[in-house]
Amino acid sequence: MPDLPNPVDYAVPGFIALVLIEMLIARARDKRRYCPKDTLTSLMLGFGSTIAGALTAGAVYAMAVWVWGFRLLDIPYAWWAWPLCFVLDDLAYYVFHRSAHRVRWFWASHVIHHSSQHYNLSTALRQTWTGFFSMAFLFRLPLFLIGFPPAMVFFCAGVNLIYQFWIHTEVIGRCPRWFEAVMNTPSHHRVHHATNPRYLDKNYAGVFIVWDRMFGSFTPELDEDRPRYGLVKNLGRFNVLWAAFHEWIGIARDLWSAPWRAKAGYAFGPPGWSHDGSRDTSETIREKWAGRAQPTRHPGEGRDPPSSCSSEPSAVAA
Amino acid sequence: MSWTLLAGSLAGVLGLALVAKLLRLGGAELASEDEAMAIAEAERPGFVAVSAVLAEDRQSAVVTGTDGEQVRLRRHGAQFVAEHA
Repeated sequence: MPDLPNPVDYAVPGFIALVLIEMLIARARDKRRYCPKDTLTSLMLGFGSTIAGALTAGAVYAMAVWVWGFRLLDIPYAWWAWPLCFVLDDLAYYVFHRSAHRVRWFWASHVIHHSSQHYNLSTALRQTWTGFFSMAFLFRLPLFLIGFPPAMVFFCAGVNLIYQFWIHTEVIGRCPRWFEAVMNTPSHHRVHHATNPRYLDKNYAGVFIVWDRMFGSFTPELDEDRPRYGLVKNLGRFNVLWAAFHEWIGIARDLWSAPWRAKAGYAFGPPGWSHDGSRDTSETIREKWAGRAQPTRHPGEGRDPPSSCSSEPSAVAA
Repeated sequence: MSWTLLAGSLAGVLGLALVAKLLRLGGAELASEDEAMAIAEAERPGFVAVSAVLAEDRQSAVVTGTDGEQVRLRRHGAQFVAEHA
Protein backbone atom coordinates (compact mmCIF):
# COMPACT_ATOMS: atom_id res chain seq x y z
CA MET A 1 0.00 0.00 0.00
CA PRO A 2 1.57 3.35 -1.01
CA ASP A 3 2.40 5.84 1.70
CA LEU A 4 0.50 8.93 0.54
CA PRO A 5 1.09 12.32 2.19
CA ASN A 6 -1.61 14.25 4.00
CA PRO A 7 -2.40 17.04 1.51
CA VAL A 8 -3.71 19.28 4.30
CA ASP A 9 -0.18 19.56 5.74
CA TYR A 10 1.01 21.09 2.48
CA ALA A 11 -1.97 23.46 2.32
CA VAL A 12 -1.31 25.13 5.70
CA PRO A 13 0.99 27.89 4.35
CA GLY A 14 -1.64 28.63 1.68
CA PHE A 15 -4.36 28.85 4.36
CA ILE A 16 -2.28 31.36 6.32
CA ALA A 17 -1.51 33.47 3.24
CA LEU A 18 -5.16 33.61 2.16
CA VAL A 19 -6.39 34.55 5.64
CA LEU A 20 -3.83 37.35 5.61
CA ILE A 21 -5.04 38.60 2.24
CA GLU A 22 -8.67 38.45 3.39
CA MET A 23 -7.77 40.48 6.49
CA LEU A 24 -6.26 43.19 4.31
CA ILE A 25 -9.41 43.25 2.19
CA ALA A 26 -11.51 43.47 5.38
CA ARG A 27 -9.45 46.45 6.52
CA ALA A 28 -10.16 48.20 3.25
CA ARG A 29 -13.86 47.31 2.95
CA ASP A 30 -15.43 46.43 6.30
CA LYS A 31 -13.41 45.98 9.48
CA ARG A 32 -16.27 44.10 11.13
CA ARG A 33 -15.65 41.06 8.94
CA TYR A 34 -12.84 40.09 11.29
CA CYS A 35 -12.47 40.34 15.03
CA PRO A 36 -9.07 39.52 16.58
CA LYS A 37 -10.57 37.53 19.49
CA ASP A 38 -12.85 35.58 17.18
CA THR A 39 -9.95 34.87 14.83
CA LEU A 40 -7.76 33.64 17.67
CA THR A 41 -10.60 31.41 18.92
CA SER A 42 -11.16 29.94 15.45
CA LEU A 43 -7.48 29.32 14.85
CA MET A 44 -6.90 27.78 18.29
CA LEU A 45 -9.86 25.47 17.67
CA GLY A 46 -8.28 24.53 14.36
CA PHE A 47 -4.95 23.95 16.05
CA GLY A 48 -6.56 21.77 18.72
CA SER A 49 -8.44 19.86 16.05
CA THR A 50 -5.16 19.05 14.30
CA ILE A 51 -3.76 17.64 17.54
CA ALA A 52 -6.94 15.67 18.28
CA GLY A 53 -6.88 14.31 14.73
CA ALA A 54 -3.23 13.28 15.02
CA LEU A 55 -3.88 11.49 18.32
CA THR A 56 -6.73 9.43 16.89
CA ALA A 57 -5.49 8.98 13.32
CA GLY A 58 -3.85 5.65 14.08
CA ALA A 59 -7.05 4.15 15.48
CA VAL A 60 -9.13 5.44 12.55
CA TYR A 61 -6.63 4.11 10.03
CA ALA A 62 -6.48 0.71 11.77
CA MET A 63 -10.27 0.51 11.70
CA ALA A 64 -10.32 1.45 8.01
CA VAL A 65 -7.80 -1.26 7.18
CA TRP A 66 -9.78 -3.79 9.20
CA VAL A 67 -13.03 -2.99 7.34
CA TRP A 68 -11.13 -2.98 4.04
CA GLY A 69 -10.23 -6.60 4.80
CA PHE A 70 -13.89 -7.44 4.15
CA ARG A 71 -13.97 -5.51 0.83
CA LEU A 72 -16.35 -6.51 -1.94
CA LEU A 73 -14.03 -5.41 -4.78
CA ASP A 74 -10.30 -5.02 -5.30
CA ILE A 75 -10.02 -1.43 -6.47
CA PRO A 76 -6.50 -0.64 -7.73
CA TYR A 77 -4.59 2.65 -7.68
CA ALA A 78 -5.71 3.22 -11.28
CA TRP A 79 -6.42 6.60 -12.92
CA TRP A 80 -10.19 5.98 -12.93
CA ALA A 81 -10.33 4.98 -9.28
CA TRP A 82 -9.21 8.41 -8.00
CA PRO A 83 -12.09 10.55 -9.35
CA LEU A 84 -14.55 7.80 -8.47
CA CYS A 85 -13.21 7.69 -4.94
CA PHE A 86 -13.31 11.49 -4.68
CA VAL A 87 -16.94 11.69 -5.80
CA LEU A 88 -18.12 8.85 -3.54
CA ASP A 89 -16.15 10.27 -0.61
CA ASP A 90 -17.92 13.58 -1.20
CA LEU A 91 -21.26 11.75 -1.13
CA ALA A 92 -20.23 10.13 2.17
CA TYR A 93 -19.33 13.61 3.41
CA TYR A 94 -22.79 14.87 2.44
CA VAL A 95 -24.45 12.07 4.44
CA PHE A 96 -22.17 12.73 7.41
CA HIS A 97 -22.74 16.47 7.24
CA ARG A 98 -26.50 16.16 7.01
CA SER A 99 -26.45 13.85 10.03
CA ALA A 100 -24.17 16.30 11.82
CA HIS A 101 -26.99 18.86 11.62
CA ARG A 102 -29.93 16.55 12.23
CA VAL A 103 -28.66 14.29 15.02
CA ARG A 104 -27.62 16.02 18.24
CA TRP A 105 -24.87 13.47 18.97
CA PHE A 106 -23.04 14.40 15.78
CA TRP A 107 -24.05 18.06 16.09
CA ALA A 108 -22.29 18.21 19.47
CA SER A 109 -19.05 17.60 17.62
CA HIS A 110 -19.79 19.68 14.53
CA VAL A 111 -21.27 22.72 16.32
CA ILE A 112 -17.74 24.08 16.86
CA HIS A 113 -17.50 24.84 13.17
CA HIS A 114 -20.66 26.96 13.29
CA SER A 115 -19.98 28.73 16.56
CA SER A 116 -18.47 31.91 15.11
CA GLN A 117 -20.73 34.84 14.31
CA HIS A 118 -18.26 35.72 11.58
CA TYR A 119 -17.90 34.15 8.18
CA ASN A 120 -14.37 34.41 6.94
CA LEU A 121 -11.50 32.12 6.05
CA SER A 122 -10.51 31.73 9.70
CA THR A 123 -13.98 30.25 10.32
CA ALA A 124 -13.06 27.41 7.96
CA LEU A 125 -10.30 26.39 10.35
CA ARG A 126 -12.66 26.27 13.36
CA GLN A 127 -12.83 22.49 13.44
CA THR A 128 -13.99 19.83 15.86
CA TRP A 129 -11.97 18.29 18.67
CA THR A 130 -14.39 15.45 19.27
CA GLY A 131 -14.88 13.94 15.84
CA PHE A 132 -13.44 10.59 16.89
CA PHE A 133 -15.53 10.47 20.06
CA SER A 134 -18.69 11.20 18.07
CA MET A 135 -17.76 8.31 15.73
CA ALA A 136 -17.98 10.47 12.62
CA PHE A 137 -15.57 8.04 10.93
CA LEU A 138 -18.47 5.56 10.58
CA PHE A 139 -19.73 7.48 7.53
CA ARG A 140 -16.61 6.65 5.53
CA LEU A 141 -16.57 2.93 6.30
CA PRO A 142 -18.76 1.96 3.30
CA LEU A 143 -16.00 3.19 0.98
CA PHE A 144 -13.53 0.71 2.49
CA LEU A 145 -16.15 -2.01 2.34
CA ILE A 146 -16.65 -1.33 -1.37
CA GLY A 147 -12.91 -1.76 -1.82
CA PHE A 148 -11.28 1.68 -2.02
CA PRO A 149 -7.86 1.51 -0.34
CA PRO A 150 -7.78 3.48 2.94
CA ALA A 151 -4.80 5.60 1.82
CA MET A 152 -6.68 6.64 -1.32
CA VAL A 153 -9.83 7.54 0.64
CA PHE A 154 -7.95 9.60 3.23
CA PHE A 155 -6.04 11.42 0.50
CA CYS A 156 -9.31 12.30 -1.25
CA ALA A 157 -10.80 13.38 2.09
CA GLY A 158 -7.82 15.72 2.57
CA VAL A 159 -8.32 17.28 -0.85
CA ASN A 160 -12.03 17.64 -0.05
CA LEU A 161 -11.17 19.52 3.15
CA ILE A 162 -8.77 21.81 1.29
CA TYR A 163 -11.48 22.62 -1.28
CA GLN A 164 -13.86 23.61 1.49
CA PHE A 165 -11.45 26.22 2.83
CA TRP A 166 -11.91 28.89 0.16
CA ILE A 167 -15.71 28.85 0.27
CA HIS A 168 -15.72 30.36 3.77
CA THR A 169 -15.64 33.96 2.66
CA GLU A 170 -17.83 36.98 2.04
CA VAL A 171 -15.22 38.48 -0.27
CA ILE A 172 -16.42 36.41 -3.21
CA GLY A 173 -20.00 36.97 -4.29
CA ARG A 174 -21.26 34.57 -6.90
CA CYS A 175 -19.28 32.50 -9.36
CA PRO A 176 -20.20 31.76 -12.99
CA ARG A 177 -23.58 30.10 -13.40
CA TRP A 178 -22.20 26.73 -14.53
CA PHE A 179 -19.89 26.62 -11.53
CA GLU A 180 -22.66 27.50 -9.05
CA ALA A 181 -24.78 24.75 -10.60
CA VAL A 182 -22.31 21.95 -9.90
CA MET A 183 -19.85 23.03 -7.25
CA ASN A 184 -20.17 24.19 -3.67
CA THR A 185 -19.33 27.90 -3.64
CA PRO A 186 -19.01 30.75 -1.14
CA SER A 187 -22.61 31.75 -1.89
CA HIS A 188 -23.99 28.23 -1.28
CA HIS A 189 -21.94 27.77 1.85
CA ARG A 190 -22.89 31.17 3.30
CA VAL A 191 -26.44 29.82 3.25
CA HIS A 192 -25.28 26.74 5.12
CA HIS A 193 -23.68 28.83 7.88
CA ALA A 194 -26.62 31.22 8.16
CA THR A 195 -29.13 31.25 11.01
CA ASN A 196 -31.86 33.01 8.99
CA PRO A 197 -34.88 30.70 9.30
CA ARG A 198 -35.13 30.13 5.54
CA TYR A 199 -31.51 28.97 5.43
CA LEU A 200 -31.44 26.63 8.45
CA ASP A 201 -30.28 23.08 7.69
CA LYS A 202 -29.62 23.67 4.00
CA ASN A 203 -26.69 23.19 1.60
CA TYR A 204 -24.79 20.37 3.30
CA ALA A 205 -22.45 19.78 0.35
CA GLY A 206 -18.71 19.48 0.68
CA VAL A 207 -17.44 19.90 -2.88
CA PHE A 208 -20.38 19.14 -5.19
CA ILE A 209 -23.61 21.04 -4.55
CA VAL A 210 -25.39 18.52 -6.78
CA TRP A 211 -26.00 16.30 -3.70
CA ASP A 212 -28.18 19.01 -2.16
CA ARG A 213 -30.04 19.48 -5.41
CA MET A 214 -30.59 15.71 -5.68
CA PHE A 215 -31.69 15.17 -2.09
CA GLY A 216 -33.84 18.28 -1.67
CA SER A 217 -31.69 20.27 0.76
CA PHE A 218 -30.60 23.06 -1.59
CA THR A 219 -31.55 26.70 -1.08
CA PRO A 220 -30.02 29.61 -2.98
CA GLU A 221 -28.68 32.71 -1.29
CA LEU A 222 -31.08 35.62 -1.72
CA ASP A 223 -29.88 39.19 -1.98
CA GLU A 224 -32.92 40.36 0.01
CA ASP A 225 -32.16 38.02 2.94
CA ARG A 226 -28.48 38.41 3.68
CA PRO A 227 -27.08 35.62 5.83
CA ARG A 228 -26.47 36.13 9.53
CA TYR A 229 -23.94 33.71 10.93
CA GLY A 230 -23.44 31.70 14.07
CA LEU A 231 -25.78 29.59 16.14
CA VAL A 232 -29.46 29.93 16.86
CA LYS A 233 -28.26 30.60 20.43
CA ASN A 234 -24.86 32.19 20.13
CA LEU A 235 -22.17 31.38 22.66
CA GLY A 236 -21.46 35.01 23.57
CA ARG A 237 -17.91 34.32 24.71
CA PHE A 238 -14.51 33.60 23.23
CA ASN A 239 -13.70 30.53 25.29
CA VAL A 240 -12.01 27.80 23.30
CA LEU A 241 -12.89 25.00 25.72
CA TRP A 242 -16.52 26.08 25.98
CA ALA A 243 -16.79 26.24 22.20
CA ALA A 244 -15.33 22.74 21.91
CA PHE A 245 -17.41 21.04 24.57
CA HIS A 246 -20.56 23.07 25.35
CA GLU A 247 -22.99 20.87 23.43
CA TRP A 248 -21.58 17.70 24.98
CA ILE A 249 -22.09 19.29 28.38
CA GLY A 250 -25.63 20.16 27.31
CA ILE A 251 -26.29 16.55 26.32
CA ALA A 252 -24.89 15.28 29.63
CA ARG A 253 -27.09 17.68 31.61
CA ASP A 254 -30.17 16.71 29.62
CA LEU A 255 -29.48 12.99 29.95
CA TRP A 256 -29.15 13.46 33.68
CA SER A 257 -32.37 15.39 34.17
CA ALA A 258 -34.66 13.99 31.44
CA PRO A 259 -37.27 11.31 32.10
CA TRP A 260 -36.12 7.82 31.01
CA ARG A 261 -38.39 7.66 27.99
CA ALA A 262 -36.93 10.94 26.68
CA LYS A 263 -33.21 10.34 27.21
CA ALA A 264 -32.53 8.90 23.74
CA GLY A 265 -34.25 11.89 22.15
CA TYR A 266 -31.87 14.31 23.87
CA ALA A 267 -28.85 12.42 22.52
CA PHE A 268 -30.02 11.32 19.08
CA GLY A 269 -32.96 13.58 18.25
CA PRO A 270 -32.49 16.75 16.23
CA PRO A 271 -30.69 19.66 17.92
CA GLY A 272 -33.21 21.64 19.98
CA TRP A 273 -35.51 18.67 20.50
CA SER A 274 -37.14 18.48 23.94
CA HIS A 275 -39.68 16.06 25.36
CA ASP A 276 -42.00 18.88 26.45
CA GLY A 277 -41.60 21.02 23.33
CA SER A 278 -40.08 23.86 25.32
CA ARG A 279 -37.13 24.38 22.99
CA ASP A 280 -36.77 25.43 19.39
CA THR A 281 -35.69 23.15 16.57
CA SER A 282 -35.02 24.29 13.02
CA GLU A 283 -38.58 23.32 12.16
CA THR A 284 -40.23 25.34 14.95
CA ILE A 285 -38.04 28.34 14.16
CA ARG A 286 -39.09 28.16 10.53
CA GLU A 287 -42.75 27.79 11.55
CA LYS A 288 -42.56 30.86 13.79
CA TRP A 289 -40.86 32.80 11.02
CA ALA A 290 -43.40 31.72 8.42
CA GLY A 291 -46.29 32.44 10.78
CA ARG A 292 -45.47 36.08 11.42
CA ALA A 293 -45.40 39.10 9.19
CA GLN A 294 -42.07 39.32 7.42
CA PRO A 295 -39.74 41.75 9.18
CA THR A 296 -39.09 45.03 7.50
CA ARG A 297 -35.76 45.46 9.24
CA HIS A 298 -32.60 43.63 8.30
CA PRO A 299 -29.51 43.65 10.50
CA GLY A 300 -26.41 44.97 8.78
CA GLU A 301 -28.30 46.95 6.17
CA GLY A 302 -26.05 49.41 4.47
CA ARG A 303 -22.91 47.32 4.88
CA ASP A 304 -20.88 46.34 1.83
CA PRO A 305 -22.30 43.30 0.03
CA PRO A 306 -19.87 40.62 -1.13
CA SER A 307 -18.34 41.32 -4.49
CA SER A 308 -18.80 38.99 -7.40
CA CYS A 309 -16.10 36.67 -8.72
CA SER A 310 -17.70 36.87 -12.13
CA SER A 311 -18.51 39.84 -14.32
CA GLU A 312 -22.16 38.97 -13.91
CA PRO A 313 -23.18 39.67 -10.32
CA SER A 314 -26.73 38.46 -10.75
CA ALA A 315 -25.76 35.06 -12.15
CA VAL A 316 -27.48 33.09 -9.42
CA ALA A 317 -27.88 29.38 -9.87
CA ALA A 318 -31.37 28.61 -8.60
CA MET B 1 2.37 15.15 12.11
CA SER B 2 5.80 16.53 12.87
CA TRP B 3 6.81 18.84 15.70
CA THR B 4 8.00 21.34 13.10
CA LEU B 5 4.55 21.47 11.51
CA LEU B 6 2.94 21.78 14.94
CA ALA B 7 5.23 24.64 15.96
CA GLY B 8 4.75 26.33 12.59
CA SER B 9 0.97 26.05 12.86
CA LEU B 10 0.98 27.55 16.36
CA ALA B 11 3.23 30.39 15.19
CA GLY B 12 0.81 30.95 12.27
CA VAL B 13 -2.18 31.02 14.64
CA LEU B 14 -0.64 33.56 16.98
CA GLY B 15 0.81 35.58 14.11
CA LEU B 16 -2.53 35.91 12.32
CA ALA B 17 -4.33 36.94 15.52
CA LEU B 18 -1.63 39.57 16.07
CA VAL B 19 -2.02 40.85 12.50
CA ALA B 20 -5.80 41.13 13.00
CA LYS B 21 -5.14 43.26 16.08
CA LEU B 22 -2.50 45.39 14.38
CA LEU B 23 -4.86 46.03 11.47
CA ARG B 24 -7.42 47.21 14.05
CA LEU B 25 -10.04 44.86 12.68
CA GLY B 26 -13.31 44.37 14.53
CA GLY B 27 -15.20 46.84 16.66
CA ALA B 28 -18.90 47.44 16.40
CA GLU B 29 -21.58 49.83 17.50
CA LEU B 30 -25.31 49.97 17.06
CA ALA B 31 -26.13 52.54 14.39
CA SER B 32 -29.72 53.12 15.45
CA GLU B 33 -32.71 51.85 17.43
CA ASP B 34 -33.91 50.21 14.22
CA GLU B 35 -30.72 48.19 13.92
CA ALA B 36 -31.00 47.10 17.55
CA MET B 37 -34.58 45.94 16.98
CA ALA B 38 -33.61 44.12 13.80
CA ILE B 39 -30.79 42.27 15.58
CA ALA B 40 -33.08 41.32 18.48
CA GLU B 41 -35.69 39.95 16.07
CA ALA B 42 -33.05 38.03 14.16
CA GLU B 43 -31.51 36.55 17.30
CA ARG B 44 -34.79 35.56 18.98
CA PRO B 45 -37.20 33.41 16.97
CA GLY B 46 -40.71 34.81 17.22
CA PHE B 47 -39.65 38.02 18.96
CA VAL B 48 -41.31 41.14 17.53
CA ALA B 49 -39.60 44.34 18.63
CA VAL B 50 -41.53 47.55 19.26
CA SER B 51 -38.92 49.82 20.80
CA ALA B 52 -35.26 50.00 21.74
CA VAL B 53 -33.09 52.05 24.03
CA LEU B 54 -29.43 52.35 23.10
CA ALA B 55 -26.64 52.74 25.62
CA GLU B 56 -24.70 56.00 25.35
CA ASP B 57 -21.65 54.23 23.89
CA ARG B 58 -23.89 52.25 21.47
CA GLN B 59 -22.30 49.01 22.63
CA SER B 60 -25.51 47.62 24.07
CA ALA B 61 -29.26 48.11 24.00
CA VAL B 62 -32.47 46.97 25.61
CA VAL B 63 -35.18 46.02 23.14
CA THR B 64 -38.82 45.62 24.14
CA GLY B 65 -41.16 43.29 22.30
CA THR B 66 -44.90 43.30 21.67
CA ASP B 67 -45.65 41.21 24.74
CA GLY B 68 -43.46 43.35 27.01
CA GLU B 69 -40.56 40.88 26.90
CA GLN B 70 -37.21 42.59 27.01
CA VAL B 71 -34.06 41.47 25.23
CA ARG B 72 -30.65 42.87 26.06
CA LEU B 73 -28.12 43.21 23.27
CA ARG B 74 -24.46 43.41 24.06
CA ARG B 75 -21.43 43.67 21.87
CA HIS B 76 -19.49 40.45 21.44
CA GLY B 77 -16.38 41.14 19.41
CA ALA B 78 -17.55 42.67 16.16
CA GLN B 79 -21.08 41.30 16.52
CA PHE B 80 -23.95 41.46 19.00
CA VAL B 81 -25.59 38.76 21.08
CA ALA B 82 -29.08 38.81 22.54
CA GLU B 83 -29.87 37.83 26.12
CA HIS B 84 -32.95 37.99 28.31
CA ALA B 85 -32.96 41.35 30.06
